[in-house]
Amino acid sequence: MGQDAFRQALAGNGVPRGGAIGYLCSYTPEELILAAGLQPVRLFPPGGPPGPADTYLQSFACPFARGCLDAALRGEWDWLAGVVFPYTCDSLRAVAEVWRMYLPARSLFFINLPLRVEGEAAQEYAAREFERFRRWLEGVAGGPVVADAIHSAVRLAGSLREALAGSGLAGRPFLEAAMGAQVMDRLAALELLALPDEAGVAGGTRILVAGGALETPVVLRELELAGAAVVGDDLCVGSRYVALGGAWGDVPPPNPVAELARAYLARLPCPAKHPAWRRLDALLEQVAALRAEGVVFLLQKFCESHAFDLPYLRAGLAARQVPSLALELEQGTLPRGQTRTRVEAFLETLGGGDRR
Amino acid sequence: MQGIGIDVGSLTTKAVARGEAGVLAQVLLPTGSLPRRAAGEAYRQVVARTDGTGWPVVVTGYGRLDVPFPARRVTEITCHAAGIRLLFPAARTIVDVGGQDSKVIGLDGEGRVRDFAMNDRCAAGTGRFLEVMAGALGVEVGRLASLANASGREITISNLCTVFAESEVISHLAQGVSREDIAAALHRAVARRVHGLAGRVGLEPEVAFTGGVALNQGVTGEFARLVGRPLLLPKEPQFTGALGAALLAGRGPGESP
Repeated sequence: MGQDAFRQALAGNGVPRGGAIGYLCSYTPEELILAAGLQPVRLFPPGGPPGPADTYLQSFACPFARGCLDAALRGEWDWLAGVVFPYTCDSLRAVAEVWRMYLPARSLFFINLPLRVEGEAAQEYAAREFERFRRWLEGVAGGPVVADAIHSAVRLAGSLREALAGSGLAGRPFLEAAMGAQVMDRLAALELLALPDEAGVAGGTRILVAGGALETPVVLRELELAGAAVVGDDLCVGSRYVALGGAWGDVPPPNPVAELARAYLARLPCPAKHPAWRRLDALLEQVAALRAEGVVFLLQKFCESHAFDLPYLRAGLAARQVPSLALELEQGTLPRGQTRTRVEAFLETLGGGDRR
Repeated sequence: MQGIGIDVGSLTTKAVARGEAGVLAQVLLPTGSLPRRAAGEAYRQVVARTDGTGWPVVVTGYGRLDVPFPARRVTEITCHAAGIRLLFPAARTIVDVGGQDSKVIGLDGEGRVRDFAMNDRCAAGTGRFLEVMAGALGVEVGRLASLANASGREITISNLCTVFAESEVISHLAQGVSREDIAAALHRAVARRVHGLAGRVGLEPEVAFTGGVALNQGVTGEFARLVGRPLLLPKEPQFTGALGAALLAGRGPGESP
């Protein structure tokens, strides 16, 4: 499998820059961008020292949002034809507002998504927003975004998600592929996934990681060094991106935009959406299916959405005898020594004692 | 079974050799800037005192990842649990406040770690916090508790950040607040910080307090007041991690503490 190519893409090499639309969240209907003949590119902050974003963002904005704004203000994403922010959390909304005000040359679209994703009203609302987004894309692309093109795009994106889900990859290699695919030409990513698998299954204590956005899959290396084998994830950049239901057949639905909105609302919600109980059930199902011995939550520092759900999720896991550990990310990294102690101690508790 | 435990902490390195009869030898050295060298020296000294060449070794503490002798690595969490279990079988909660971090460890009825919490990338509520404050007050850190004993007025240190708290101490001094009152306030600040951390794990009795800061009666007294019951205090709390490591060394990998 083309792990090197995925890693290269995440390092910014080979990312298609012509007609690229950047996006910051897996609620972005990338299918509409593809249908417009444009290139969806998920934006991951490149890291580095604190920059100009500190001037504009409140001190408690998460490092992921801060890193995105830093990159934008430094001009590192000037090659984008536009950027889209679906409404999930307040920090990214703040980034969108600052972006709109201080980078007016970059075309920006904000998709208002409902907080509660269940019910007919939510679906109608999301469908209207997706339709508004489709029309914005027509303006950027300079041509119509028609139903047949949407249908083809849904088939392509669906094939890519299926290939990722069926790749047999887990942990860091899976995140490299999933995150790499989100910045690459989607057809090229699909072809890479068809290559023979080079990744082996790492040894160690079987751990599921959960949380939101990561800047880089490399962060999982800290868990591996401590003796964890990451066998699966519930991450915005990983399995939640992949697990979009509603695969379409050969015949397009009568209203493809509304159907797409329905699929996005039906997927496993992130903590910025309601209801939260579906996440707990999904976590428990994943733990059982993957025979994970524990869950490690990777949270962006100051991420209120995830922090709000954390006690509920940890209590729910504990009630089912699933131990969990929460770690905070700062500027895309985990502090090495402290993380090592926390994770090793967590793994020791899973074994009832030390293992090394 | 015989075993050697070495706890390479941020400020001091402790080694304990233990046999069937109990502790046979123990040493305490400053870690300095070369934890690997400190670990090697502690090992050499404890082996020399017990003829413990070839005994199994468990190394713990932040310097556990790089030592110049063959050893099993176990975290401080598990080692403190083992050490406290040996000293106080009834303990269900361990508070360990060392040089650069503080931990609260919850134990089940068998002495196994059921949960733990550590301070987050900040020296508030640690021995280092007290060291910095002692420097600001111009006293040895070992004298802070006796200084606080003479406090006659309750004041508050509001800042949790070590650097800001130091500024606050200097401001109090400039306003004529007595060093005794400031020292007492600092102990309350550390105890409250650690008490808050303990809330994440749950404070189940009995509660043992260990680590170097357990030698400071100002902090342990304030913490006991917050908990509402007496604490289990090891006679030599700075050795608890090394003692647990020695105990685990005498057992095989994977055996419960």
